[in-house]
Amino acid sequence: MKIEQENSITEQTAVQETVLKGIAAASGIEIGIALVVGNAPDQPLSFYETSPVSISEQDVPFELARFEAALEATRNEITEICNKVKVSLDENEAGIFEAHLLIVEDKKLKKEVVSGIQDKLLTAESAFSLIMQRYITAISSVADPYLKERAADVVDVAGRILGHLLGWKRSLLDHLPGQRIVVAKELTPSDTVMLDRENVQAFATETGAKTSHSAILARSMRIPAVVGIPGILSKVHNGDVMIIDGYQGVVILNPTPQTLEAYALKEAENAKIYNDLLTESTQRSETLDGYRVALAANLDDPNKADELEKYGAFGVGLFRTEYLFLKDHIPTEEEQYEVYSALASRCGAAPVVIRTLDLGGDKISSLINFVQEPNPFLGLRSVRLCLAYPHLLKPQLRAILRAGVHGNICMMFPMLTCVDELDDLLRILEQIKEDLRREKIRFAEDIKVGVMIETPAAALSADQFAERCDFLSIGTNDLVQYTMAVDRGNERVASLYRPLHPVILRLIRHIVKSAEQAGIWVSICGEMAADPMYIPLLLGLGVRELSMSPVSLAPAKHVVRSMKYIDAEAVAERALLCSSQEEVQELAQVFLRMIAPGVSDLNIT
Amino acid sequence: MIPENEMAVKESIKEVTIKNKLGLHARPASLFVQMASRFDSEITVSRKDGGEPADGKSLMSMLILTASCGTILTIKGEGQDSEEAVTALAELVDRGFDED
Repeated sequence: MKIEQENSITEQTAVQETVLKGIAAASGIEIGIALVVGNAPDQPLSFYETSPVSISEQDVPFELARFEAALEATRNEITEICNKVKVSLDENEAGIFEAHLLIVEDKKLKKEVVSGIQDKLLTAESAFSLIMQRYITAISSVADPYLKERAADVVDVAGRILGHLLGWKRSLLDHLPGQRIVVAKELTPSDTVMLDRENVQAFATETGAKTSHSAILARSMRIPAVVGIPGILSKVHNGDVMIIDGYQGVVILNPTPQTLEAYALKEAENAKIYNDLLTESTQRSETLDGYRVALAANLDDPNKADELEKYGAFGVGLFRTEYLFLKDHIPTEEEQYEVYSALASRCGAAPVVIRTLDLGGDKISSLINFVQEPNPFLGLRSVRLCLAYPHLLKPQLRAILRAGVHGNICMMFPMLTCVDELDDLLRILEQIKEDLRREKIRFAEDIKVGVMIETPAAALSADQFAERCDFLSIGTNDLVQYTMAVDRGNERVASLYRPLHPVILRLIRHIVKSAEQAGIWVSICGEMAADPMYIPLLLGLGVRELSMSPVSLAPAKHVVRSMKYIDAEAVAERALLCSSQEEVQELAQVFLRMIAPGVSDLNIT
Repeated sequence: MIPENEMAVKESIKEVTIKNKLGLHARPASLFVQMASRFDSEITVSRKDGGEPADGKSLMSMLILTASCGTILTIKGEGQDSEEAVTALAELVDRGFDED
């Protein structure tokens, strides 16, 4: 025994296990190899100096491809500048950029870097840095002050290429070298659109909150994620072994054998609890006192529609269409029609709610020429963008209307603030219907049209919206962000993002009452709907439909089936009278522990 | 089939002096590389005072020659069009890259 202990101590000091604390964003445990992406600083690099990082033989093609792509991106960037300069100013100026272009295209330089990757087994940025450093030293060592200064040209181009190498997340994520845990500052939707989903085991990000993009993506992919881990990028290196604990919100670097063993056990236990919950998924989604609750799935990948049955989803409560627009071209009406109608026919009679294009904010598409806005969440985003550029919206509306004949499709507009926006949209929709009639194209005449309530303005005028449409859907992520005036992705204020604050509950109740008065249905499709702790409160407030990532459905159904509506109503009434999020949280936690202790221990979020 | 005299690699050499005030910085060096790349011959450039010869078609390579005003360079061409290449390149240097 004694000897064993001693051994373990020496082992521990040798591997230096490090535990980093973050926010648990998607449950699960994964043990794997780190892949660090996009650790570029926000400002352009002047030059990059670090100790060379080695790679394994099998990573060579991957690193070569990264280098190629960085050259390509830099070439495009400089060509663009070159053309601009040529129009605006003098030939001499453009000549400098032509020289920069020659550096990018320099065959000798390229050969040397390729050999650094292939023969010395260095990462693309290490090989490139080493070689550039040599050139720069040679040029700067000259006595002539003018020539010496001209090293600046080389440094400039080197900085651009490195910037692309380090900040170039997207294509890196397209082809992972194998099963990897992706570590990044933050992942945006455009970074992950081409994500090599087969090979991502987990995410760990430096910034972000439970509702940031990588967290949502992780939950929909059923992989663990820990976000908001300060300083993780400076501590993790490519190839490090790490554990992601999505229950505790903990990342463990270079774990000891003891830690690894403990985690393997934990993983097995949790998998068992989750699988037990899954067996419940075919049963009725009904409270103990007989209230039916519709549980639907949030979906962004039409190919995942086959999973709906497995998780016990009744239709699709939110189909996000942004992902169609984050690819290499704006999808045509026909392409969209194909996607929507295939999805509708797969779901049969169950409703499929298609949300119209919701770009902007943190979802930026390179296809649409966005102006850099100082405050994108308060800018031309979502439906505002669609109203400003009808050519984006109209083909989508036509495609949705046409696909409606193949199933039970509903159409939903996001991010409205005022009813006149809805009036404008309905007018456009009417025009399009008229066009389709004239063209004798079949479409769903009586398609249901809904509105997402995700701004305080819309929440407070829910009664007026309810008079004009067929259903309301509460997007809690944005509603909380705009009501609490907190950027949910900013780790410095993320703790002020309070979905359980009584003020949010009051808004939700007002929306539910407005819908009831108008005799229309209301659902919740934000992340709140998926949290077992929040579900009784939401149902107690009168919500009868929840839409969430398919993976969250099993625990949600278990919660629904374990509670009585009248108890939940009483808890909700008390919560509305609270004055802080903490008080509400306490109520909700106690209630959940009482009705479904298994789920509360599992800490599925 | 190949005539015997073509089996040997054609070679041309010329010596030039950098005349423009600012020397062989990025812009003139890139003019040199662009011109050199138009020829099939291999072009090497070396400083008369020694050091590694540079590949005349690689800007990075030319830049580390760090040839300032007054530096004497040897331009060597190897290949069928080496004579035209070396003549054209030497002229470019002689004209001071049209800089001053």
